[in-house]
Amino acid sequence: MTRRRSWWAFVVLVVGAAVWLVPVIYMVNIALRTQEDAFVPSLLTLHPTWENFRVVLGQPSLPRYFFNSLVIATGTTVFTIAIGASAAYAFARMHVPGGRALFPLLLFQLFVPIAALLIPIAQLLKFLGLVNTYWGLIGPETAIGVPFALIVFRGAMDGFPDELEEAARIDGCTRFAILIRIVFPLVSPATLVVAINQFLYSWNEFFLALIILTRAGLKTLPLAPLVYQGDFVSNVGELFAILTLITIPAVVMYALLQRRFVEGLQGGGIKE
Amino acid sequence: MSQARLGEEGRRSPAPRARWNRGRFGPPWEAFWYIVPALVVLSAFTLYPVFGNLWLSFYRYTFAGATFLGLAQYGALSRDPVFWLSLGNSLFWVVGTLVAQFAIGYVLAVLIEDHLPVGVQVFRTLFFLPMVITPTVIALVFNALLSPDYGGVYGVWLHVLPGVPFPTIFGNPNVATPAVIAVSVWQSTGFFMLLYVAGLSQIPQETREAAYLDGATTWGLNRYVYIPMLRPTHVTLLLLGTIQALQQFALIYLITDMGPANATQILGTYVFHQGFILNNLGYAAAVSIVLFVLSLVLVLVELKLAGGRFTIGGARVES
Repeated sequence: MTRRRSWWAFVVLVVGAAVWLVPVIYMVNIALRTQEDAFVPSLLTLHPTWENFRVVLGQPSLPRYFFNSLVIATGTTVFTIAIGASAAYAFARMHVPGGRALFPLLLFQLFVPIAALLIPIAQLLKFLGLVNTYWGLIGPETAIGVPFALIVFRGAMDGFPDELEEAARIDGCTRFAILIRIVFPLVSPATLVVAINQFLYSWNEFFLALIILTRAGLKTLPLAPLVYQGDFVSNVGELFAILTLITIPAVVMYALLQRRFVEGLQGGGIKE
Repeated sequence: MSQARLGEEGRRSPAPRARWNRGRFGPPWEAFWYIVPALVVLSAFTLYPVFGNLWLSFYRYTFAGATFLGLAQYGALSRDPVFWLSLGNSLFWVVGTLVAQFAIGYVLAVLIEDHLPVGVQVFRTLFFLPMVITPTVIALVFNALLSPDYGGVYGVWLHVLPGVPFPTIFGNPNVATPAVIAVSVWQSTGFFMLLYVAGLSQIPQETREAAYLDGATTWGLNRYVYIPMLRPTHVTLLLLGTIQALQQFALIYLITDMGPANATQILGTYVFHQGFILNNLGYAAAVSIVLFVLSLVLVLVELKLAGGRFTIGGARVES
């Protein structure tokens, strides 16, 4: 017996999870209420209905917010992986003049709250004409994600066996081809960690979006409830149906990938 | 991360390794092409903003143009009670979220990894769930849940404590900040749990067996084996948790709108408040600089205390 498994832990965790998830259950529950029930002070309703979801799914603007979020989150994830992996490759596998000073400098962003950089970022984006564009969000979100990507990729590439690269070089591969064809496919657990982390960050990003996306047609999902809030003051059920719909994709994505996310965090890569 | 990479002494130094590629394959400046994209985004969105803020904080901006004020903006800050309140609240956020997230996150991770007989993957996912929910959704749900006229908690209160008036929570300046901190803890504890889960899974089975053979209790195993061995994870969480607390914006803005009467204002929200609502760009830049310096000082002190080493996803970072 190496781990002391017990059903007491199970009971404690079931109760704990039930309490922990009260807000989530409450959200879905309000979304399932009739208009008369919506303002009844109780955690659960006895008369669930799909009516709110039916109404809300007919909203023409909702797919637009999903689309905007998807474009921005996908864009920043791709750029973060490309920029992070290529810089990590240089630091892990090449001689970088001044690399000892440069690497910590690149990680710097990890330890600066975004609010401390906000005003010049907003001014820069205005100057570049990127306010109210997808790029206006993809740019700064990528900058925020790169240091984390750099650490994770470097961790995977530092322990990468030299022999594989050497064999490729003898076969006449250029350095860039080695990165793309050999190293990158082999660090896929790290890529997955970066991708999930960056996608979820971008999908839920609120602060930058609030400032940079002011035009209705460009807003992302985190801003959507603020738009709808005014329209649904009298019908909380429909507002909460929207909140539930916004929540579902990220939860499903995470639930499907969580096992590999944890494995990736444990540093499962190619090791010598 | 293999076992050898966990302990400090087990760390392989890169020097003796056959570095065929160091400078022997392609020109020495070739590496820079791979780093340039990272340098460009870093310069545009991190380095430039730091200096931009410093510059802005010396001026006052009006429609008529810019007036040079020198350090006067910082003098005004030192006499601004809302600034001091924000600074105090920021520190409260750091301490409050860290203590709660460390404690709950660690206990959950140990319960799930060491003691749970079934459903490890399910519970990991359930407790992490709030991390993937949009802050806007969280804010609206908690506001409704704790609403004093139709909230779900109010409904339970009516049954459990009939006749006792339901307390105002987010509208009460004395409890609003701890209440929003609690919401943030609810959201972020899953991240602490997950990193501890990742850390615990790297402690080899033999270590546990040896500890139990030596007669260690569950308490002893945690106190003398896990907690010391998880040191890199503690440091990572300490650093990331500090910045996470300092950069909170969405929950405060959406739940209390920095009120009542600035009671929930922190430095990050105050930058937004001054810069984007009141349009005092220079003043907001001065607040940004204070926030920047505070983050830097806290992180450097923490790194110093921690011996300058942390880990993410099997990578080790030294400073």
